[in-house]
Amino acid sequence: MPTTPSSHNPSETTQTPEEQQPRDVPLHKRKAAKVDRLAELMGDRADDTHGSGIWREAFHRMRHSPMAITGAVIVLAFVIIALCSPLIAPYSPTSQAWGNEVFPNRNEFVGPRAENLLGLDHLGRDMFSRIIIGARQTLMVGVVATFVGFLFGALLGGLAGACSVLGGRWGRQVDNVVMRLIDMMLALPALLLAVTVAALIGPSLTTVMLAVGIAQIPIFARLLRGAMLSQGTREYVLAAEALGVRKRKIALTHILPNSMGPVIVQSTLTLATAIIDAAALSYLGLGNPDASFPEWGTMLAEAQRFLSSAPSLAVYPALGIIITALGFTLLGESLREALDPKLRK
Amino acid sequence: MSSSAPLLAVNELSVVFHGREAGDVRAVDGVSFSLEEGRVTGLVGESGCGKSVTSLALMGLLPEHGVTVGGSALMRLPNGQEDLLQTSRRRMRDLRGSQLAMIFQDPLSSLNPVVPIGRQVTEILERHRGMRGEAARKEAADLLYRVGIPDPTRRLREYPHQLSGGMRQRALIAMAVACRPRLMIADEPTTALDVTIQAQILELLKDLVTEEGTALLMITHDLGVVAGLCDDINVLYAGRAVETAPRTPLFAEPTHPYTVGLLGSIPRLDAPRGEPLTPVRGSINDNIAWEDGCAFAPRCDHYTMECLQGPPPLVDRNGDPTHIHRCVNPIRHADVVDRTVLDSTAVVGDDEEAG
Amino acid sequence: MSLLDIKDLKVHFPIKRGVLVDRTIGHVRAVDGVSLRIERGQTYGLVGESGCGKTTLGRGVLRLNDITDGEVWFDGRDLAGLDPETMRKERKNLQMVFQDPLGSLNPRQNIGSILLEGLQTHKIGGPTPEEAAQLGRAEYRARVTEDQRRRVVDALERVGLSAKVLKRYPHEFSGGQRQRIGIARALVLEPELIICDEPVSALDVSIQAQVLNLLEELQEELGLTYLVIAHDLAVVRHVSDVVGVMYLGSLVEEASSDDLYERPLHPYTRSLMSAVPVPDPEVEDTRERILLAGDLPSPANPPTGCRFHTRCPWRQEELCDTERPELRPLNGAAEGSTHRVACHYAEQILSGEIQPSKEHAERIVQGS
Repeated sequence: MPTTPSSHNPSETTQTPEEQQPRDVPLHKRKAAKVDRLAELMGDRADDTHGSGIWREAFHRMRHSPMAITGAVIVLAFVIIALCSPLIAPYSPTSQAWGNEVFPNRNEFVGPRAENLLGLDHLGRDMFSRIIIGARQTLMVGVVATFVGFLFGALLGGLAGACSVLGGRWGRQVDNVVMRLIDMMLALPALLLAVTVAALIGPSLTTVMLAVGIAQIPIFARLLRGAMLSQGTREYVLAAEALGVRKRKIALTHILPNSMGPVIVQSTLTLATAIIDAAALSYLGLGNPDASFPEWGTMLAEAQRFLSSAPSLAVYPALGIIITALGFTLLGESLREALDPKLRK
Repeated sequence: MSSSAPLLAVNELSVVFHGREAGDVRAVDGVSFSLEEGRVTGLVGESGCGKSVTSLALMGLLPEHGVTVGGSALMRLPNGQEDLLQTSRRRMRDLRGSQLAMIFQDPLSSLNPVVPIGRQVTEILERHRGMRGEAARKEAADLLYRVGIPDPTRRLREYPHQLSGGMRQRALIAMAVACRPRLMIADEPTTALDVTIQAQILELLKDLVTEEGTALLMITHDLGVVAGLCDDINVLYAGRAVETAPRTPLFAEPTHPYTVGLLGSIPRLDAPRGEPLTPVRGSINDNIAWEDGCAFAPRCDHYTMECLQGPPPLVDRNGDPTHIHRCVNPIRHADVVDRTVLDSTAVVGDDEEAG
Repeated sequence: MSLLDIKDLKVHFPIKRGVLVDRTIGHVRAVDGVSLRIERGQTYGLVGESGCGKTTLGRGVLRLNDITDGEVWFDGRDLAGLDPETMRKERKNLQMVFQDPLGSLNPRQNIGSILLEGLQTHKIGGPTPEEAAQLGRAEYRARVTEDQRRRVVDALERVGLSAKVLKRYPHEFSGGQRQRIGIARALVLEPELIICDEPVSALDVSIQAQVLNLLEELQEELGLTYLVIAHDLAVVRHVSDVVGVMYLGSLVEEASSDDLYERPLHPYTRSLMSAVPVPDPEVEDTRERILLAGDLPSPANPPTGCRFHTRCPWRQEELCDTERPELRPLNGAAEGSTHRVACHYAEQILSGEIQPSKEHAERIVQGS
């Protein structure tokens, strides 16, 4: 305990090192001086009374990662374009204003020029406007599909995980039943599942979104359950139990929040695959039957007929899909890295 | 080569990790010691003192990028002296196993889980001693038997998970001594083991050193292990040696306040019960840069203004070149007895405050 | 009356195998019939090597593991017989400090919320019922919050941390500080018994001593009762009044801390004690070391008779492998002797009548 300078004990004078110092400086001044000097050298150890949580720290780390920045820029640009598309697009995506300049059967197409930045499609519509407006559809498909998968997947997985960790024998039975159901879903190839859904409710944009979303459910469910099971064996869960906290509260306030990290990372990655899957379904003709309304996957599907004569019609929507998917993947991967507990100090 | 040169002379070893966010971290900051055949040298310290990094640097096992290693580590080899820190990675791979070997803390993760023990031992014999087939298998069984693994021919066919922790550590030691290395580095070899198993392993290491004349560098945090095994001891703190001495003077008359504090922190089985522990206060995070002064000063009860003016030099104690300490105000032996008095002069604030 | 009285406690874990339906094919007898008593204000140290069941015993007392058989009398109630909800409420009187200071703290909770959790769970703190009756709802809430915060700060200060750390997160602290937080979490509920499961084994040497001293200070100030579980005999002996030595699920010896050191009776205790390194070269060079042969047998298939007979250097032809020894005082011990040992031949071993055999021990190293 700190002794006050005035109440130094008698043994101080017999102590060795300080004896060699000039006698004229009073002891308490010398002591104060060395304490000050030490504090100065220890420098910027000022107590940070506001701690930083996991997310804040992850954000901080991501700000320094080129991967995260690239991903964020792409995603941000995509979202802005999608949201403001009617303002950006110079023409209506459905107007066939230049219909008389394009003759697909004679292999006459119009490439990029001043008024049509990306040229015209096979019906003489402005490609640039179609890509921009298509971004909005694509974003909606990605977000809604991921949301569907996330919501139902997390519900099922969370239920199974919580039951398995805390429910005793009865809980493990529930977990068993739920997970066998999930396994059955997982056994169906995602695309086949989507085709089935589409066949059941007819081709439309909703079909695509639902189909892609449902295909993601088992992935989210397994992921969340797995994370919860591994968190469930951690000592802090035992500590909460030893504290007498109710099991329901342990599941909701301890296990669940700590298990969400991988699921959130997965959802950014799923956004990318959902866009690709949706494109695939549209390509197969299960998407929006109103082909005049642009969606990148549908555009790609249509462009294949002219692949040899006008490859650029396929290249633009494909590039759009690739870049967007890349953006979400980069963001997701860097988020995963930033949340990795091994990298935290 | 003069035979008077030590087997391994480490001089001013320093290891700096270049971090992207945290900046440079000096994990080892000028550590010197030497190893002799048939002797055990100990590196003792708490986590973060740089003892494990030292061993990795000597073995050439630090990552290639983002690390700067300085100083020298001259090893006497059959065909002349070589600086382990300057040796190419290729040459290091040949030296590891044949001339120097390492035993790690966690025997399970140091063994390949999908390869039988026997295969892992014979692999080393094949690579470094050119043995083949039956001869290699026989030698492997012999090695396992030598390190005290009963029924070695059966054990050779088993996988690491089928062995107990003690047996795995024995198998690792067998692999380390397979080529009769002249230098062995053991990094906390018994920390993961139970105390009765630890006693077995320590006894085994002791025998290896006395019978084979191997030089052993023992890295540990446990002063009890050091007292029983090591001949020379280096106490490390924040990347530098703070006290170096043969074991008897180090334990009988420690002079650096940190050594004294460590000894005062250990509950001794043979001490009368009720004797209070006199630990060092604070934690390793409470330090200052060595350039500014003694890194231990914030935790030290006897620091003075002199301790805070530049790096303290390594000086010998009363002209005894074997007992050196890095301290401006070393503890004199009358003081140790009087520790309660010294404690009351503590000036700096509360325990461990500082993130 | 003892604060904690464990009678013949058994905790067995089923081993399950099966493709579709799990069948129980055996049991790991982690704790297999342990009886012990802890007096109020005392520290009971439980020592043993990994796999001896000491941690399971500690968790069994708190019913964090299902108890297979036996009774756990705590302050006059049998915890083993309580229904889960009553047991949950009872936990405010028995708290636990864990081995891994970081792992036992939720990384997403700040220190304030970690410490408040127990108080909120058990609705501790706030005005007395009479006062509460006169207060409005909002006012009552405020009083509770204020009181709980005071208790949290109190507990933090007791373990040597300041109220400044309330908003910080576990990873921002050093190992020793985290363990202090773990202790504060237990303290804030003002429990009567604290079970410390390897409280210092994950810490650096100098920090270990700080935490051990802290535990001792807290006991003096608050009159706590501890059950300290550790593998380090020196630590256990340092903090405990009574020490119990466990081997493969059962107690092999129990004695006061000094007694155990002065006169270890059980062969296992003797070899354990001889294996603990002492930081003193002179002692290290001269002491006798009994090196045991082999490893701990599997608790799923423990040896018959005395559990230790497979590794015991003093093993005899009769009784050892057929009959399980009871924990008993020595024959002819003084009335009220607390030194108990589970060995058929304790008297003969003590008198030197039976000498350790070279073939059973791996080696006995005589001091030079």
